[in-house]
Amino acid sequence: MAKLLLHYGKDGPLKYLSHLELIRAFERSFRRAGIEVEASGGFNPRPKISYGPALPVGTSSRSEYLVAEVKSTLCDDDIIERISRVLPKGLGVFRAKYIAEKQSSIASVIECVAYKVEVKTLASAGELSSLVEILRNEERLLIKHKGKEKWVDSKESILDWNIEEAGGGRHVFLMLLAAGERNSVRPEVLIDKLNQSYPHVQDIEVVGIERVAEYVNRDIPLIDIYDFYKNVTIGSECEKS
Amino acid sequence: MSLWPQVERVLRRVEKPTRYINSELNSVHKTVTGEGVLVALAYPDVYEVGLPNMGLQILYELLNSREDVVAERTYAPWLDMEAVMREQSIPLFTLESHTALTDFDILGFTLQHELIYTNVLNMLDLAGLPVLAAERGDEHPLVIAGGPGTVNPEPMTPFIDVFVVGEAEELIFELVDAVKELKRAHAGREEVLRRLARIPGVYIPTLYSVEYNDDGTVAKIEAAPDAPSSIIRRIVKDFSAIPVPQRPIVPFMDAVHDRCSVEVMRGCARGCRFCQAGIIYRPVRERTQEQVVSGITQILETTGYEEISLSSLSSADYSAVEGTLKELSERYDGQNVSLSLPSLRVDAFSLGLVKEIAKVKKTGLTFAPEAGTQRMRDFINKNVTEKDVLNTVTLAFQEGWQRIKLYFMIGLPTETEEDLQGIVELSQKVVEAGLATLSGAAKSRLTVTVSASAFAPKPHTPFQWVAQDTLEEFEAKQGYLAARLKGRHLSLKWHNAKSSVVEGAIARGDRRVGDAIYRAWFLGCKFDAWTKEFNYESWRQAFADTGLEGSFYAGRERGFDEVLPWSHIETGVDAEFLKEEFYRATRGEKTGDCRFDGCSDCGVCPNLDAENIIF
Repeated sequence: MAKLLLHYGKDGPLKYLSHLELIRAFERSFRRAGIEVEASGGFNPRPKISYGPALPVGTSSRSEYLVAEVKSTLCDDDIIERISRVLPKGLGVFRAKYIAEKQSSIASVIECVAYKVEVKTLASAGELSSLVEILRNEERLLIKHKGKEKWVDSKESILDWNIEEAGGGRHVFLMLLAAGERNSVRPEVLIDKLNQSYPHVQDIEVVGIERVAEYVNRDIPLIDIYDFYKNVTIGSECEKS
Repeated sequence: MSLWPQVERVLRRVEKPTRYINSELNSVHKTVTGEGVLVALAYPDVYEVGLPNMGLQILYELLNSREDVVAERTYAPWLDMEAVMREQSIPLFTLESHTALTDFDILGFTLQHELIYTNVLNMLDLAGLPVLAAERGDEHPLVIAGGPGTVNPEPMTPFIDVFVVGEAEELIFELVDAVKELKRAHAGREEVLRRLARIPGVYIPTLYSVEYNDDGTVAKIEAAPDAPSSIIRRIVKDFSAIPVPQRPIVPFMDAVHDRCSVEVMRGCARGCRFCQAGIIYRPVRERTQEQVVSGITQILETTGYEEISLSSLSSADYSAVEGTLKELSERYDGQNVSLSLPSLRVDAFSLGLVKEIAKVKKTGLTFAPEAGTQRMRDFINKNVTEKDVLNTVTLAFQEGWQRIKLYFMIGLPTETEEDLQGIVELSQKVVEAGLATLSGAAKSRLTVTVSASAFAPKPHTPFQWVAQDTLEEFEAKQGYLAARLKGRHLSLKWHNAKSSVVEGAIARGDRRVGDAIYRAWFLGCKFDAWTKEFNYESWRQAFADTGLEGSFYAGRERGFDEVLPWSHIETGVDAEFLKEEFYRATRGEKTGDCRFDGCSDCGVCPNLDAENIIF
């Protein structure tokens, strides 16, 4: 048995897959790739694969991770090759490595996430910038999401941001947002917040959201989650298929 | 032109957007240039219901195996999606390339049952096509229908240009070739239809005229001079010569069946007299065990499926069933692949099979005694005795099963209170057997679910002449059962009798019933198979508005000499055989299975120049 960390992405129409649908797609892909995954015990054995935080339906990502407990000892290149061959179009594996057996779960170590949010609005980049700045200067923000409310500390929540004009009334927001237990916020919720807080400004319509990176800390230098997990060599040497 | 940008813009507003995306594994994304034929295959229900349909999956793979054909899929958008599509003027599209259906040469629907007919109309309308065939022109795709509904195509004739009766594996290429040639020649619609009528198994309704008697029955059905007087169902004579489809599409979302399903045989010769499938898929043609196992092996490789199902009308009757299951369970031992066997017989043999494959998980078991008394079971030719039922369930309880489902029908011809009481008593005896066999916690978990569906007589069966029960009769019978099937371990389930009555009226309808279907759709009927969407009042109004009586079609007994609206469609089974079977029913005589008990002279083998193929 070995633990395999896989860095993958999800885009195109497949960004509309729910988390459960994504899980099933991966389970079947491992089967097709001929990479045996350990199964849990019990009456209804499930493949032992753990995932990072669920990606909201409609959000694409180039920063998704999963950890699979595999029986194989194939070399990481081989794993990437095998699984890439069988993944449906829209899912892609970037990197893979074996990691130590005792490790914190992906979901538990992520502290902040970088997003790229494309928006459409008649407001200028300058106006948008000042809006975000006003939001950040409020001490606390009331975040409403799926009927729940919570207060977050603005500066601890919106860690960094940048806006670029993309032409045609479009702007690209790059934002680094807190994730995990404290002060976490989602990008679409933040855009909603902008729309609600400044009704006099033109509507900001979200065109697309992409998760671009996940980190295990919130300070400079940021540590990418993939680098956080140290790779290990399995057994004597990996097998070439 | 891809409609994806427009579609994507509205996906945020609908539930389950996965229904409308593409890129499922094994879906085919390709283009043809020049003289290719573009086919859109349509299932008139929502994605998760339509995707697993075996017939469409077979056609999809066959059509796409040709370089000059592109086949894509489309399903009925759910109500929320339909609303935003209409609001944003997005026409119905295929999934693969998100192309409007109007850009295709052929639009093919499958008619799986009567309660999806209004969805066909709605999909045509959503596509921006005239719903009525008569209003479509040369610029529109040819609208084709296949599936079991084509054995009585008449109610759908106002909407469909071409019906394909029977199995399409061979016919489809003849059809595509003809369309390709006609397209090249820029043939007009009428010429196209006349040419296609020459293909055996193809029914072009506009080439047939129907005359009626004063009492509303059909006087005669007349074919145009160059059209065949009757349409003979097409079959694949040697099913084992057709390769097992290897690349079924794997859905992302949870579909009604989401597993590797391989057809082990076509046809069933048990001869249950109420069963249409038992007639219209004859004769029995098996695949070899080797073919089934290697087919499954390949499918698992291309799909990654974790469940295997041996599908057919009665898989326990497949002659190699034991060997196949054994080989599969050995091959996939320890790989977390589960096996399932739909349609069990009520006997120890079937139970033995299930016992083998359900080594760990013992979820519910379903048995279908169909009727409550021996008299009625003999009447419908269901060769099962009460002793068989009780022995089988007792064995099941001994093996550790605690949940049993019993499937019955109410409203079978000649049914009396005694037959209903028989359902009650048999169900209670099954509970008693459970209580006597199980102990401790298992005993307290014992559940016997009784499902009682309302019988609708179908064309091309020995019961095609009988009257269906009225809604009042059905409801009284349901009330009778509900009052008596009570108790801690019993639960009763039934389908809405109202939808069975509508189903019954359409099933044996003539061409004029098409007017009622059109009217019902106009009044908002769609997704009639969905209990929450089914609107009985609108259907009643639709019949009334078009001057028709549902009871004329559903609740009327026909004379043997009546010209039935589907009499020009020949399944291969002789009408004389159906009559004889009806007489035998009334005499309580059983008819054997021709695989074991000698030929029952149904006519299908000589008429279709075929035979049972059993390995």
